[in-house]
Amino acid sequence: MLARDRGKAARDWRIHRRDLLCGLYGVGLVNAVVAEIQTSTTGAGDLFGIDAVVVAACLIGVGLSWGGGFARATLADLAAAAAFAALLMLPHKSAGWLALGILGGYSLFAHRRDAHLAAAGGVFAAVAAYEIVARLLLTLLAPSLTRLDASLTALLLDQFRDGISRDGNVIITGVGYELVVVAACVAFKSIAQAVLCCFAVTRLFRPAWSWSEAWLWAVLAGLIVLLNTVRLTLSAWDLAYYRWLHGDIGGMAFGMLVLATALGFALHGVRHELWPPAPRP
Amino acid sequence: MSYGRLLLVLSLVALAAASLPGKLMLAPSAAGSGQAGAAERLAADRLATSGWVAAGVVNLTENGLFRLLAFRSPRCQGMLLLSAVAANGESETMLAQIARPHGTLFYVDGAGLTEPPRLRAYLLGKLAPLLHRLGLVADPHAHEVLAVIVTGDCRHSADLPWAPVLTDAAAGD
Repeated sequence: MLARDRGKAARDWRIHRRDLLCGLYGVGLVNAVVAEIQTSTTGAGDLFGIDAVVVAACLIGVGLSWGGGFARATLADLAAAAAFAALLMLPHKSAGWLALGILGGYSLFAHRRDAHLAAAGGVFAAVAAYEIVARLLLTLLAPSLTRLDASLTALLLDQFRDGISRDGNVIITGVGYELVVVAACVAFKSIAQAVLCCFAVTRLFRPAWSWSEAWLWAVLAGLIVLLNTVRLTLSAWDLAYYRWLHGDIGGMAFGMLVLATALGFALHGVRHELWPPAPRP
Repeated sequence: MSYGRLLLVLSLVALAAASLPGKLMLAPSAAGSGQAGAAERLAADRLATSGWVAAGVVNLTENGLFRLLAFRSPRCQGMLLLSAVAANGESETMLAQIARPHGTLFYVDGAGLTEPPRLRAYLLGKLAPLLHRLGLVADPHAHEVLAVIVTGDCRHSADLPWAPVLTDAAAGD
């Protein structure tokens, strides 16, 4: 009887949704990382320019999808998988992110009854939004964003020093040099990274989305704008500060500060899941 | 392992094997701000055939992120400065400061433009390598945006490759 059951199980042609999605996410992630390495202008010492937050978020997404239920994959799931495979075949750097984002978006809505699969879908949709939509917005809005950050910096600098003026995104520091705020320096980039980090870590401990997280993101964004303005103000204050903040150590220190802030917010948001309150006697 | 799971694993391996070679053939990203791009080399060649002589490099920032290639012509007093710039317009103010008060700044991306064509340049920048790989466009760097500053009476030089653009831009002065 047992031997007959085992044989029956082996002849089972069903594909579980969890296995399908987890496998597709894995192949998509490998494609995206290989494309990033191939198109990178930096070397291995700089991790090929790959964003560690993105890779960590993707690993969280794969882990979440592995925790999904054992429901059988439907025809719609297989059609989504076929569309994913077709997108992945494109020889383009963004093809992997786009495919992961579309599959994640599909899973977020189609599998909303499975908290883990929906959370994994949300994480991959967020990664694709970060890699594609945030970059597009940064390109389109760069003049406005750079001017906004430059005006905040000039405003703060003006509180401590005379002779400060601004022309667009160029700050005349009054100490013999001008500071140009470029797209790579704006707070928007750090905000997008911090929100992605916060979202992925929160999903790991609490798969179900809650609107209270949006408030947390708003406060996080405000804090990062403040940190970035202080960084730019120090850069405009003295050339030595500029050189340190834009060097390897200073750049890494600011990146770590942003990540630590995002992680702190994420852990604060899931504190009840991490450390459940003791039951009252 | 069930037949279904085995079929899935084989399909995933086949998908990875079919999709990865396309990614492995990708080349490093095209030049960004301040890096010598194909558009700069092409423009320098065009200028050389019109009698313009390279006159060095003007560094605009301490880290060398922004710099201009300078050219002079024996037939006019003034300079021509050019650089491949990011299409997001982050260098607009800085370049406008350099062009003031007697120079003219304009951007070239095949047609003539007076400000960077952000969305078009971004989309072309993303799609051009793919279209080139698929054999649909000849030049994968066709999307690069050139910023050009012309000073002195060189603005009216007949040797400029972008004379029609310059005439339009100067008409607005």
